[in-house]
Amino acid sequence: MSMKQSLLKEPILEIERILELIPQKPPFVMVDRLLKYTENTGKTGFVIPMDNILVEDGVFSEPGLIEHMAQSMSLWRGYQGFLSGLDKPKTGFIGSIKSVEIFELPKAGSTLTTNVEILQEFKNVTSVGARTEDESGKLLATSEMKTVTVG
Amino acid sequence: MLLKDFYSVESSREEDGKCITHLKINKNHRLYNGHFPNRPVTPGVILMQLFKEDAERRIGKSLQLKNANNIKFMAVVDPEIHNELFLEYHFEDNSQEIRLKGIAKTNEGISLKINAIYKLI
Repeated sequence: MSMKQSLLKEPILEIERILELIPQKPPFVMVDRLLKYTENTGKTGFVIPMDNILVEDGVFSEPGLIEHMAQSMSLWRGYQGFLSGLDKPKTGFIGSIKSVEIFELPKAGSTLTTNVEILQEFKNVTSVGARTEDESGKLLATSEMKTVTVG
Repeated sequence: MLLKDFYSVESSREEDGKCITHLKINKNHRLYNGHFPNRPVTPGVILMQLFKEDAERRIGKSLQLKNANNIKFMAVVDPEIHNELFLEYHFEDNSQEIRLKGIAKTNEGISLKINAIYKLI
């Protein structure tokens, strides 16, 4: 069995279930599905609601995209916690952003897909790389950041 | 402004090329209902956005973040304690891009260091 094989039997698409796996809650939720999970990678998605708090003039803003990438990591972490028996997700936030590039801002209503890769974990600090595409496969943004979990 | 009623500009000045802006954050903003329940923390991405909006006000043009490097969130900005924020930054405008480097401070010290490039749109 490949290490990269998804440990998810099927994608998690129910928002109620997603909200049990991430510490963020409405109106500050920027991820709504977990499509794949492996030991060190994850694939998430988000359909950007028209009335999302980080949408301005029908466009998902830069903070929205970056927060989506961070919450994708958060969701990976939350599912990892679930697998290890935690009953609720730990609070975590961005500690630093090594780099972020934004190529294009998506329109509200579009669907984002993001691949995250865990680059390094040390105590409560995790380095993660993220790439976000739109539904046509166009690359919208990439980032490398460190997130801090505070329990 | 991306978030309605999130902050007000108390003062804005320039000293030897350094932009200094004093902001007051609305600790009752609805974003804190979700970030996080019973533990309000100003999201780092929202702190970053403050610099873009401040630069936009100064140059009178719209900007879009293109890339940023080595952004460090040094301390949590709890809106109950740190509702006064000071932005201090320099920027260069080459008519296509803005290069900005600066810090955000609360009364307890530096909370954020930022290096960012924005394109004019």
